[in-house]
Amino acid sequence: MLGMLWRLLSRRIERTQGSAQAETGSVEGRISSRLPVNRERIKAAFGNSADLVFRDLQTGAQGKISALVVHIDGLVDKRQVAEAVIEQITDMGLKWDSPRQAYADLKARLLSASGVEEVDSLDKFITHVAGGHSGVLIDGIGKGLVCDTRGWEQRGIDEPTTEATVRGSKEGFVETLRTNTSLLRRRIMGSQLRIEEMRIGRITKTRVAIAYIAGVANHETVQEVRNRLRRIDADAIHESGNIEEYIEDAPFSPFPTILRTERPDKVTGALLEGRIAILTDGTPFVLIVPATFTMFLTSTEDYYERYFIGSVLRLLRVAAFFISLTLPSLYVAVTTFHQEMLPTPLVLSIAAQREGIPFPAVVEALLMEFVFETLREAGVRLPRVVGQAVSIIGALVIGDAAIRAGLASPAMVMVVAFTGIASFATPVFSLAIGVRLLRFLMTVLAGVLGLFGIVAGMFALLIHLTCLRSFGVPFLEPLAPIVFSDLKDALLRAPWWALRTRPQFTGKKAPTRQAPGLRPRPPSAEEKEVHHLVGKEGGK
Amino acid sequence: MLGKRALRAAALLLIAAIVATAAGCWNRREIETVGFILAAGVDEAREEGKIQLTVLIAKPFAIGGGMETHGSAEERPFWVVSSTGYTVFEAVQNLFSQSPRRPFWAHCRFIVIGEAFARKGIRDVLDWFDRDGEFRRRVWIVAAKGAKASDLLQTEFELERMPPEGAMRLLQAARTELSTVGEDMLNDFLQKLEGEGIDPIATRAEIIPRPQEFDIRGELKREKIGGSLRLTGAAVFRNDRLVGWLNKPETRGFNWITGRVRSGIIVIEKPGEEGKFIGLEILRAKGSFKPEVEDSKVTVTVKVEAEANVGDVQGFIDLLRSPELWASMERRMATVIANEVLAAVAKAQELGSDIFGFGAELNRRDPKKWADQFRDRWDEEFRDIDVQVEVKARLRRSGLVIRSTRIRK
Repeated sequence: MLGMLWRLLSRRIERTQGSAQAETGSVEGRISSRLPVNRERIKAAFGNSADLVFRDLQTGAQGKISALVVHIDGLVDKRQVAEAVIEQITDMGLKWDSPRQAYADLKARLLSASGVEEVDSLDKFITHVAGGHSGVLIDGIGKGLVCDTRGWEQRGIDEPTTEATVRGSKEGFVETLRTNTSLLRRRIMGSQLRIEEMRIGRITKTRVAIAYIAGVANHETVQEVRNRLRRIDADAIHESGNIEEYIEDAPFSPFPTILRTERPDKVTGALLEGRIAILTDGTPFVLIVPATFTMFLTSTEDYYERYFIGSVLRLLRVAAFFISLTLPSLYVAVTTFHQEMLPTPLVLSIAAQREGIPFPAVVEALLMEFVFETLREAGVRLPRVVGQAVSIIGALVIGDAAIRAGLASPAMVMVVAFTGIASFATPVFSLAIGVRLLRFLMTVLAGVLGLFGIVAGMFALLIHLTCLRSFGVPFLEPLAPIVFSDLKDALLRAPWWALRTRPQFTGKKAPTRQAPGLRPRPPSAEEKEVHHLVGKEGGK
Repeated sequence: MLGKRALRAAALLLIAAIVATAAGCWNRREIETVGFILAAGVDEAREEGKIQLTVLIAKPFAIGGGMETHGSAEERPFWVVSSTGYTVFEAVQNLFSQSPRRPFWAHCRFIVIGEAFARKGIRDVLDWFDRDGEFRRRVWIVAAKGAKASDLLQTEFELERMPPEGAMRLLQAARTELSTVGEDMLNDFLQKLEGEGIDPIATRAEIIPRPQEFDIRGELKREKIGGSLRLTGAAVFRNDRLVGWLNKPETRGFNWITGRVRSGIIVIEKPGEEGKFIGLEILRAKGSFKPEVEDSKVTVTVKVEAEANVGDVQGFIDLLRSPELWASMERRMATVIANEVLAAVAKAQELGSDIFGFGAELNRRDPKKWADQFRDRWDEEFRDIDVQVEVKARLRRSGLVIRSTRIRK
């Protein structure tokens, strides 16, 4: 039904879109051999932007060679521009006789920046300049050089704020794509790590990288990711969330089918399972595809703590997931439809608490949920200092006062509070948010139809979940379809030495990831013998 | 212009909205509008042919949970109310005119039957409790000895504010610690009513008056507690009519035979010393019986195996020095058990009610013979049954001491 509405809406938009074809800012043609022409065209392309810097130089033996250095202020490391580019041109230029010689010399030897590239299309030249390179043009040459002098203010590598763990790496991704790829490279030293880059966004030209491990990831899936990314023909990519919405399999589902993380170790773990990471410049959030439901209930810590602790924590999270989805609705259903299901003292206690409350339990539940969600939202947005004040107001004023004022019962406050806490136990925020929305729906269902409504709602959800796919992988894999070999790392985590095979759907190209029999054990008799001999020889 | 698709989508949305808002509320009741009935009682009404139904409804606002409530400690957290009708259902419906909260039966734990009413037969009353969907079959049937059910429902406990809760605890203790209570629930009762060669029992309850001049500080400040409830054995039914009562030892005799003894105390006289007693605590017990027919004469062999610990001893005893004492105590224990069994059988035979299910067992073992010889005349036959008792009594441990404290002078 949503789809139907969407189609209607989009038809409207298409009709009115003709005029919305914005100036894309792309400049046609090659670099001219006449410097002033190039200069004007570049200036025009940037619309005389204030941060565009032109440096005109006269060099050559007779001072006859005109050169132009173009860069954008704030994106380049100024010292590097001075030392590696301008000084080179002026100091060494004294022996140049012709522009051709100057150009060849500069290209081959002189420009001491680490990356120098020759471009002949003006568009490419401008794109590089916009990306923080310094462009060098010489009068009389129809080509340009771009030097990598990028250097801008960036945030240092910090602990990931949304996915902090007790044990494990404290590094999180930052906003700079290159730093992020380096974080991956540092963790995967093998040359199999592939990083492909492209630019998306007609105006933003955002750099987007695909990372995968050659020989592990499926070619088809990698190709599918490339295709879906290339399909995006939009003005802007502001954050990986935009990409997520352009390429996800189920755009109308409350469940995310793409996992996002700001932890490099989570990404490397996923890469080694044959998954593919999409890194976006300008955001620390990296997308992982294909994603399955159980990945959303997994924390990297599960793999670092000993396996049974990891398993128990996972089960706890699964329980918290169901609680955050159904607890208020169960409470409403049981107290308004199925009073026979509670033990007598409890039912009397709840009845005593509800004495004099003016709203039906459903309304009470929705009201308190609403209050809680508002508080949470306010707490997230506010500065930390004010945030504390808000939480105090929330806990004391709203919670306690609502009870005293007879607007809500203590049991309901308790249910809502616990549900809120349970929803924070879901490690991935995007899933927790979806569940939050569904919780309201379930509460309404429970208020209308009781347990029957909850069961109906859960069935609908289950059917929906089993229908979801993420880049060709069933979303509920390995639970539905059941894949026995993958159950070792789904709701429970088997010990590392038992995690021999990669997930069936993503890792079948290289099925095993370790040698068999790695389980620690006392040495056998022969091994003891060998050690004994070695020890003796060593002693001699 | 909206297209066909849009119309369809709008219609779907509309249907969803209607379904969500108008569908339900069938069976829906906010918890604070429900009158939770915790116990019900049935008596004869004053008008001829009518039934008086008395219910005990909880007053949640007077319970006083963890937080401040409107109730105070003096306020009774329950309300006892009666209504009458020609049938139970009519009486239940008549409750609506008195109780502002809709009566709700799923939490009812007891059906109390007044003695006078029970002697006339209770099947017609049980039908509604069996038939109604809110009711559970795990409800205890209690017969009030020498009292009306409405009186029994007004008794209170000193230590429990909600009388049915207190009665539940008493009943549980009587079942598991004493084994001196008849324990048929509605389900068992109905099955036994329907069964051949078996008659139902019920829990026997009495009202004991509280001593009024009771002046101990810390007593609940409530006005008066008129009477309290005590569970004193079992009520014996023949078919659905109450015919008599088993006292506590007889009830335990019944429980020995049917294998329901869980624990309890057996008091024996101390071997070799008049007037001194030894208390034995039952650890484990098994009971079974086997009816046999010889020349159309029925003999029932009751087998009881029981283990006990020495609980307390009067006078001096040294178990290490006198092993023969051990055997003697076991023999006395066996005798006590056998006596209880025989007393129960004698009472049942006197009342003409096969509460043990001897007939049913006979039927199970030899249906043909049962049908041919006994079915129609089981009532007389039951009175003449010869019952043999075989008891295996074992004493296990003697607590933390083997030898009692000796007083030396």
